[in-house]
Amino acid sequence: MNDAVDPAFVKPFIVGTQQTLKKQCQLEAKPGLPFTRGKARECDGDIATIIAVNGKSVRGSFAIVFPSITFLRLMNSWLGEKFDKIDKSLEDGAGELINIAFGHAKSELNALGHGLELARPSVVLGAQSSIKHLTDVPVLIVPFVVASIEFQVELALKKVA
Amino acid sequence: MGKLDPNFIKPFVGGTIETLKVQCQIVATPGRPYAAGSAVTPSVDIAAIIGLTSKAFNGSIAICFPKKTFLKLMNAMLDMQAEEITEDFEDGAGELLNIIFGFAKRHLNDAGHEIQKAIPTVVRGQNLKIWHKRDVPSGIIPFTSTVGDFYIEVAIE
Repeated sequence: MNDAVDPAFVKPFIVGTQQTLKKQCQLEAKPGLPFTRGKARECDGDIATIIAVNGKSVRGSFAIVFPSITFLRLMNSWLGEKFDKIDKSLEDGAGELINIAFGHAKSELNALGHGLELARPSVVLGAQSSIKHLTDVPVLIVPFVVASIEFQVELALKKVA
Repeated sequence: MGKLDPNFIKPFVGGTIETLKVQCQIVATPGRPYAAGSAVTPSVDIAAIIGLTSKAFNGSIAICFPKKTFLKLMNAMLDMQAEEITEDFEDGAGELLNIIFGFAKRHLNDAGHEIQKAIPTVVRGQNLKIWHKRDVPSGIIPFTSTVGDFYIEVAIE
């Protein structure tokens, strides 16, 4: 049984992430080769943001996971201010980034009739955190490099009959 | 900042009590709900989060456990004696939230809200904090139980 979604579903999330960082942070983020969770090393997660993907033909979750150094660098570029640690003042930043990236993927997929619904991101902060997507499809990890430091996108998408 | 409608909170509270009773034979007692950030919450090591989407609102609900509480809960549910959180236990956190969510969803949908099925995610880490957008009302419902404290957090916009 193969419920994993078509790669065509994955691309809009990758492009959305790239475009968001380019527009908001003026930073060029390069996606690496996607892999299935467990097959390669993943980056550290100090702050993670997750959004539910609910559509007519696909369901699951989309997450972006940042080591704190990467997140602070992005916020620094975005807000034009230097931050030494992740604190409450950056509360909305991570959620806002994934919101914009998700918005991009959503409009692209909905133009093809996939009916993705608006959703609200959750942001989780914690040293060495990892996300577990409760789904029976393989979780796809897309490693990214931005300003020579890493972060990753996680996608657990399942086809809906 | 708007206020959370108690009618949204109740089904989640009811679902939590019922789920822990049925799955883990544990009695959980809800405390007084408060706005997120207005009081100190216990340190969280594992949390399950589920996104809510419906015609009328969007939001998320999370169930947050200190490691000690979570292990006792899982040991009770699975009849085990584990001392560390394993991968199976991560599934357990999501499963619990799924059952709670299913319960609340049934109630809310009976009341005419069309809440969609959603898939939970589980996050593990040290001293986890869940952030919601500043303008979204979110409430904490603390629980005490025979296996320790935990809380659920509901944010709805």
